[in-house]
Amino acid sequence: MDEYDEQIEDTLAVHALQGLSPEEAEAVEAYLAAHPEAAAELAEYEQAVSALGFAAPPLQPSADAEAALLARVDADARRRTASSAQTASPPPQTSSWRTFFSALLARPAFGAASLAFAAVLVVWTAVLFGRNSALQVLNEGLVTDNVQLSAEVSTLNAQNDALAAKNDTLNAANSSLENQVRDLTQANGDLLARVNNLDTANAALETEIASLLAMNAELTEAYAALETDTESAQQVLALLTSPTVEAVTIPGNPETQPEAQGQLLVDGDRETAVLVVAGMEPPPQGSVYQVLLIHDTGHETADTFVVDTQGESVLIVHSEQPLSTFNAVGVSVEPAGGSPQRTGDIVLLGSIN
Amino acid sequence: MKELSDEQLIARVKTGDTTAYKELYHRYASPVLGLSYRIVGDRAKAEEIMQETFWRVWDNVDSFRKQRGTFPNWVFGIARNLSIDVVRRRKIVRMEPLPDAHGDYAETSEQMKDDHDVAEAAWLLMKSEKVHHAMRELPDEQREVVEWIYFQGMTRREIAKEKDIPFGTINTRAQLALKKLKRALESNGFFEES
Repeated sequence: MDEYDEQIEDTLAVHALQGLSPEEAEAVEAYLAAHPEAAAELAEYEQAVSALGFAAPPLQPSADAEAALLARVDADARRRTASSAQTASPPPQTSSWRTFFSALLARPAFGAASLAFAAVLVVWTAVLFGRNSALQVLNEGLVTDNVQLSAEVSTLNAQNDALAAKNDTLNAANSSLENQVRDLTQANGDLLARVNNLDTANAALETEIASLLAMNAELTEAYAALETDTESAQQVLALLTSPTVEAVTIPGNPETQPEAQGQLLVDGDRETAVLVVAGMEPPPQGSVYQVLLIHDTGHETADTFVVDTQGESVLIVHSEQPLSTFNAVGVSVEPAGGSPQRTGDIVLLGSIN
Repeated sequence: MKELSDEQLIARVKTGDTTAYKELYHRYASPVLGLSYRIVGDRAKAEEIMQETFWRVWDNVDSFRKQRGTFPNWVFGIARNLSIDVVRRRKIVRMEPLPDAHGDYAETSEQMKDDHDVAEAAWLLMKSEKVHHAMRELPDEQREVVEWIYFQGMTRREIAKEKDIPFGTINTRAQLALKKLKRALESNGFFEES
């Protein structure tokens, strides 16, 4: 049995699970006694097996089952305590009296006086026996009381232990909660700081976005102006390169601005023309110059303009009809923004045809 | 009393301390009843087995030797053997599936919360769930061997005959299963909490 036995070694796990027959298990146990390393391996397996008891979901025993079991155990404990108390109590001391009477009766001078004395002794002894019996009953009662008191002390100890354990549990839970609150407070502070940082960053971004939007609006406006300028330039270029373009001189009104002079580059088939003016006075405050297109039955007001410090200006004149349908062109002084009908003095006037 | 280890409580029970005994009872009655119910599948019979198990703990506490294993090993061993005896007498072998973590466990948890110390119940449920999870991680053929032997009380000889599996294979599967189970339980902290 001292030799290594591979077959038995291989069965240790099954043995830990209690899956061997009684004969096989007996052989394994005998082998273990001589092979501590195998016993150690078995202990490893048994540790895993001990956990299997927890594999099933725990179930709360019924109150009746618990009460019945614990009552049975309490009763047994009391019985054991009482049994050990009786075993420990001293035996009744009657032998000394028996010895005394035997000695007395054996004496040779035993007479009537002795008999009377003996009778008194018998009565006294009876009384003493009676008192002894009463004391024994009292003693048994005290033993019973003692057992009951022990049980009560045990119960109170149990309650005390349970309360102490609950107190410990609550203290531990309280401490854990305090730690959690501290951690959460710290985490909350960190989050608030991060939120503040994000708010600051967000405000900076909003400012930048507003600035970019304003810049975008300006660029859009500039782009629109450039598109307008480009369109005007294209129109002027088309007009100037037209083979049928003519230059019409528009003199200043001798009564209002005799020094003023204008030239209209016009192509009769088109709806646009270029007006170049010079020598004009600045229009009065709150007024602009406005082009008049005059035909047989009236006139139409067209584009408005102002002049520079030299009294000069170049503008494109737009019409809804070909310019060949008009007989003359003029410039009048009108309120800022222009007027649908002429209201002011004419400062330039000339025939188109 | 709760901070005392199982071994310290056992030492007190050996002196006749019923308070220590009741602490052990409250610590292990629920898993013992769960184990018995898992094996016999009858609540009333399982309660009888639980009572008898703990009576034997009280009555035979002097025979408990730490060198021969832990208290859980001892008490579960008593309960398991009593349960297997019942099953063998009935000649019925139950094949109870492992409980689902979100089904039976939740139900058991609710039941235990009603009338049991919450911390104790949570501790037991946590241990139960860790073992349950570790068992689930085992390969099927290894878990089956554990189920057949431990929960159904089959011997190696019976398995070999009924399932037509060689002795050597049963031995190997049992070894691998228990080693993996122990490693998994060590890694999930099962033993540290006890």
